[in-house]
Amino acid sequence: MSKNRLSERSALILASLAGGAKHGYALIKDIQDFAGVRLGPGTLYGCLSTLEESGLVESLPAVDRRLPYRITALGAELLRTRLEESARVAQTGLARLQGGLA
Amino acid sequence: MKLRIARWLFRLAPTQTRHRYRGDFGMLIDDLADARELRWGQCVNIAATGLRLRLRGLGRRRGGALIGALALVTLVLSLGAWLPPGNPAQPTRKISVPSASTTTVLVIRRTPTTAGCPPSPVSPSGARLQVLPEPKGITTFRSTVTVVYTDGTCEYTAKWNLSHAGLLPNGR
Repeated sequence: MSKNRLSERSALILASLAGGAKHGYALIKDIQDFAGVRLGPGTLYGCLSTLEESGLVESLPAVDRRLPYRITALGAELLRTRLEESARVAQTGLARLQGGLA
Repeated sequence: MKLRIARWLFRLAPTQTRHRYRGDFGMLIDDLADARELRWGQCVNIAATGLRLRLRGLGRRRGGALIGALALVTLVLSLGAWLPPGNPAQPTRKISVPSASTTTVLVIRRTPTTAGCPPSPVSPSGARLQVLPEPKGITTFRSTVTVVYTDGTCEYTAKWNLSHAGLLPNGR
């Protein structure tokens, strides 16, 4: 998966996993808390399968029959690049907004 | 109910995804149900994602062809449901069907007059008239009838009325 193909939802999952390994329900709750986006179960596992195939996420041994997932080094690198790009766009936009309003 | 449907809908996902995440997915659905957060929208989400993953597995070209075929079928079914049925073919009041009309009726009680054929071919009792092929949506038509008498053959042009299954006034 190239950085250009990292979807918004995949980025949210990676951002959630950047804070530590989580299983499905914990992922949904965490993403809802920090981003205000509620992922559907289908969307979650669709993204997880894509991310796992791309080596950006890996599963850990089951805990209480639930599989925790964690971000890989490659996933962290891709997420950092993506967030830096987003931050640059956000800073530029905010600065221009401030200049235009002044 | 929603729990069962959600689990069942996960079968729409590709086999590989299903086998990989079946147990974990089941636990997630249980968690959502326990928290009373399982909604019908999430069932739709499971179905839609499963189909999307399957289409992605088919590749862009085959997936596009499948979606196109489904859209076409949906369009045809929708049009079929919305459009009123066409008017049924109205029976033609008088049509000549020469190709379907030559019929032989055997009459053995009567013989041609010495001057020629009798003015009207009358079917004997028990005689059976068969028109091949059977004209559909036609009640009245003209035909040529060959009547074989005991000592000769006469040809008539007759008007047939299938609704009455009998002979109407004829002409030579």
